[in-house]
Amino acid sequence: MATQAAFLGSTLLSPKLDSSLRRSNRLKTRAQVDPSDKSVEIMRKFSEQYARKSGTYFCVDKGVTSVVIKGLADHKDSLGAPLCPCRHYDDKAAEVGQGFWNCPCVPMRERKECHCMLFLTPDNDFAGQEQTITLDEIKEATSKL
Amino acid sequence: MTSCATTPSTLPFSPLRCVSPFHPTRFLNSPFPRPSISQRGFSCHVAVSSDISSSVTSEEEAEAAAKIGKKVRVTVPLKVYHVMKIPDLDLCGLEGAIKQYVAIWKGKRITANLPFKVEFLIPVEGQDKPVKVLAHLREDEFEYVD
Repeated sequence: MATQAAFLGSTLLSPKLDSSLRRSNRLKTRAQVDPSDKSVEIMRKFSEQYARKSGTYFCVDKGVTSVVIKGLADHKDSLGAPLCPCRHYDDKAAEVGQGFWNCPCVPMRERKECHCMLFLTPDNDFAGQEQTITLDEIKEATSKL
Repeated sequence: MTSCATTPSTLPFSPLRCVSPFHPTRFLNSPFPRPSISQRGFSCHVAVSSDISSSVTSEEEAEAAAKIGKKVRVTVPLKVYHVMKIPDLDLCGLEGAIKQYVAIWKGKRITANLPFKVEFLIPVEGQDKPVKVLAHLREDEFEYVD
């Protein structure tokens, strides 16, 4: 009997309590803060410039390009350097210090191999025709995530 | 390495927590009244250090150091694009020396997948001095030369 009353009591209180709980839970479950607009813009400009310089092209699916650029911006904000966002690291600070995976990474610089599919050589099946991407395109493609 | 020392705080005896010695739940509950979490004192000593898995053993470091200076020859077709004077360079068949093992940096393991930094001296037409080229290679892309 006592437990039934307690349960009813909680349901009577629930609408207000529930929505505020839901709101705070929503905030708490955001595991990652979005990178700053400034960093995204910096990495966007870098990507365009490096694609031009290396003679590579963005993916036909600009969503791929957008996610990678955002990932680079996020690492730039959190670690100080744009560490490759498509890899797993045991010690990110050490990786940044050593520099192998700082974009443009060694495989890209030396062999033009970008496994993130950010910079694609013209012979690649997924390479598009463009070496440019706008901030709006990035925001639109990543807003759906 | 962690060590925890719990320092139970003194609390007035709570009658609700009193369990009869003949009650079967005496085996489930602690014989002492337990204070609530917020009232318990805890001191924890935690070793703050970098992730153990990224630390390198001295054996691994010695193994890597032994390889430096060894002469190698590239055994696979390998195009590199980072040499200014030679825009499209194929390293296959070229000989060089291992300069550095980059997968170990300040005693930590790095996830570099091309860990051997090899130096090549490549003669170029119209130049007396050969061009110095540094390239990163995998273990299966070269062989040791006597």
